Amino acid sequence: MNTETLLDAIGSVNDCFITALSEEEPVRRKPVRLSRIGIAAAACLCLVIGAIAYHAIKGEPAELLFSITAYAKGQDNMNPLGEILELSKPVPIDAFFLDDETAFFLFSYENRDPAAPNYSLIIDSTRSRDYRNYENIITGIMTEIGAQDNQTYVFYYPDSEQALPYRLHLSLDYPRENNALVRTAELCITQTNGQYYVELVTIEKSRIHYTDITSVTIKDNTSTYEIIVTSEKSEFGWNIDFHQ
Amino acid sequence: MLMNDQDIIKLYWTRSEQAIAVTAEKYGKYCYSIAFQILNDHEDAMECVNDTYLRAWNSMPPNRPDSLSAYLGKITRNLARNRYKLERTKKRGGSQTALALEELEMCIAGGGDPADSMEMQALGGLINSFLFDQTERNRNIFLRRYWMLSPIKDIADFYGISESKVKSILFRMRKKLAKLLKDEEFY
Repeated sequence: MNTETLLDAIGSVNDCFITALSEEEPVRRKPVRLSRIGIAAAACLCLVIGAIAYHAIKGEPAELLFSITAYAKGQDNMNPLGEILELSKPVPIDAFFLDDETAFFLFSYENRDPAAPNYSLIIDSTRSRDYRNYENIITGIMTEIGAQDNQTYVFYYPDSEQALPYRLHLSLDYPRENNALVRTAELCITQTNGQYYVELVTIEKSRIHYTDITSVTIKDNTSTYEIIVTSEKSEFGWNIDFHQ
Repeated sequence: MLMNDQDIIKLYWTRSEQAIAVTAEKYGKYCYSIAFQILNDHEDAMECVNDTYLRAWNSMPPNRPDSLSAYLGKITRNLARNRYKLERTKKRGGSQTALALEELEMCIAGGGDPADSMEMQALGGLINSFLFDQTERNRNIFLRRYWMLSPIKDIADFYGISESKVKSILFRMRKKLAKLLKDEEFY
């Protein structure tokens, strides 16, 4: 079978589908969709996420070890544009949406530390909640580094239950020279005139505990990455286009 | 006030030439949109729409469709698809058809075409079954893309969602369809 045959077969679908299609009315985009999950409208929405930047870590080698990139939708609204975060420099970001309207912010993290093993963990360290009970909300992922240009993609889901401003600590933890090297950082997401901005606020070394492990598989499907996140209870995925 | 479909169909059955005018008034843009997405050419799309009116005139009677929009839409789509296949040899690119065909490649894996109309009918039935199992919105998004061949941007605008989201929905649906086709040994 070829695609022409399939396209022709689709042409013969039930009339009721076509009738419903022709009678469907366009939907107006809501001006602020994030209000659905209770995180918009406020003047300042603070979110604290872990991030590591080489120049922000005292006593570390001068070479770039870590960077975290925040993504906005880009002009055509299809290909997220990434910008590496620097301390105290707000960067525009956008909320992305799943089918069920759940909003998330997209970050990626790159580890250039030659001493790092082939995995790392980024988690929300402020909440003691066991995220394994949340089938659709994952605030931390573990993945192999190096799957795609050394980028580890991080989906951050704002928690609608928590009072604003919303704060979250994120950490990156990996063993180094027989010692666990842990770094934490804060990201602050604010909203001005409907536009979200993210700023790297602080970054430091520390030891924290984490509770959740979730794996992510990134498959290269030409220009689209299929990202499958697997937790203990469920598996779900997205396909997202990135600029290479 | 636009005439209702059953009254329009009556005009065809009474051989009133007003039937064409009211059809054009009510469904002209709709048919043009379908034809243009497939052909990506104004003149060809206009001809296709006019051919649709002629085909409707010649087929009613004996036909008395339950849904005039579906009836006209299917005629337009078939005419445009046939014209597209002819025009393709001239390598006129840029239409949504070419893009849609490219996207649907993931649903198939070569192999033989359905040998006869019975198999095509079975394939159509399978696609109907697949669409019945989808949510209404996902089904309509799928049909806007692969039946109407609307650009993804237009679909996103129509539903007030992002283009990424439309692409995500379509991607997942194509995966499901591919699995269904494989399970049913269509490839």
